[in-house]
Amino acid sequence: MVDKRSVWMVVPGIAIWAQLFLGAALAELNYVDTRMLFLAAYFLPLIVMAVGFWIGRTGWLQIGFVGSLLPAFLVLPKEDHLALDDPLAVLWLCGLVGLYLVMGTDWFSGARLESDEVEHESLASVGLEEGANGGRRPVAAMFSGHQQHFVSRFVVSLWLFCVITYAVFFDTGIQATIRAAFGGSEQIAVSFLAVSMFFVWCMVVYMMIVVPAMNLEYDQRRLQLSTVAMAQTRVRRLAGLRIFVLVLLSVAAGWAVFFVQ
Amino acid sequence: MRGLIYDIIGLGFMFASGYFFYRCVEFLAQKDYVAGLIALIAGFVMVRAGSEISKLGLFIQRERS
Repeated sequence: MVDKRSVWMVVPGIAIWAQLFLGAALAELNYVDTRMLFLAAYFLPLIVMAVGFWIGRTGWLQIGFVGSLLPAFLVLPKEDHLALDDPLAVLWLCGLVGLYLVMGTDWFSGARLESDEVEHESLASVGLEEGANGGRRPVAAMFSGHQQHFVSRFVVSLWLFCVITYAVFFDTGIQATIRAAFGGSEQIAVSFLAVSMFFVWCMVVYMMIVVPAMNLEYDQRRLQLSTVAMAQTRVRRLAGLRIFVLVLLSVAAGWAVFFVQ
Repeated sequence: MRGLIYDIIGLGFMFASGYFFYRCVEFLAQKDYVAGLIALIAGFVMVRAGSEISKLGLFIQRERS
């Protein structure tokens, strides 16, 4: 189901695409013999975003969109790499990627609440319901009671940010390797690496802090639900095993009586 | 106590994932994209595992309190 939040999520996505590929796509369209494969690569991120928007899958909109930028990068002419040559443009691009992911997370939290209601009903059916889940939870409420748990995660995310920043910008060994491998365009390579690793860091923060913060109650109730289901399955399996052993013993006794006679 | 141990192990996993992200940058700089992707996946797996283990620790602490 398409809602207002997903419409806003598309805006930074289009801005990212325009900054990177709009010039190259327009130039390709203006050529006499337009290369359709190149054009398809340039427009692939927009198609992926439109599909994700239509089917309402956050994974498509986040990972699928960023992954679909790679084929366009592969065919992008060198003169159009200028979008990554300027440090300010790279900062702007990182900001847009961050905004895109934050908006996706906001949309995801809305979708999660819908699925949480379904879970709520199934929990109620096994007698584990813990009260109604009303409306969207404020950010402060997500972290309440678990500040220590989440502070340690903030520290880890800062550590990972420092590791990635050091590796991309300050490690002399890696800098030398980049100079050797990308002679003449090392600034573009560093910028591309920086934007890619910033996206990776955003996904790590999303997995490590945002998803657990949104789903702690949900996960605990799911764990309880699966424990109850496992216990029920175990009882059923034990009953099945007893019947199987009984049948086996009866057959064995029948065979024994048959052979003794 | 058991919950705290789980939490510490989970944090250890998350801290250790930094090594894989560092190696990922190193491999990408060498244009070894397959190795970079594998290191990246290993990093994500470490983060996910750490997150799940420490979440379990938190649940245990909540059950006890």
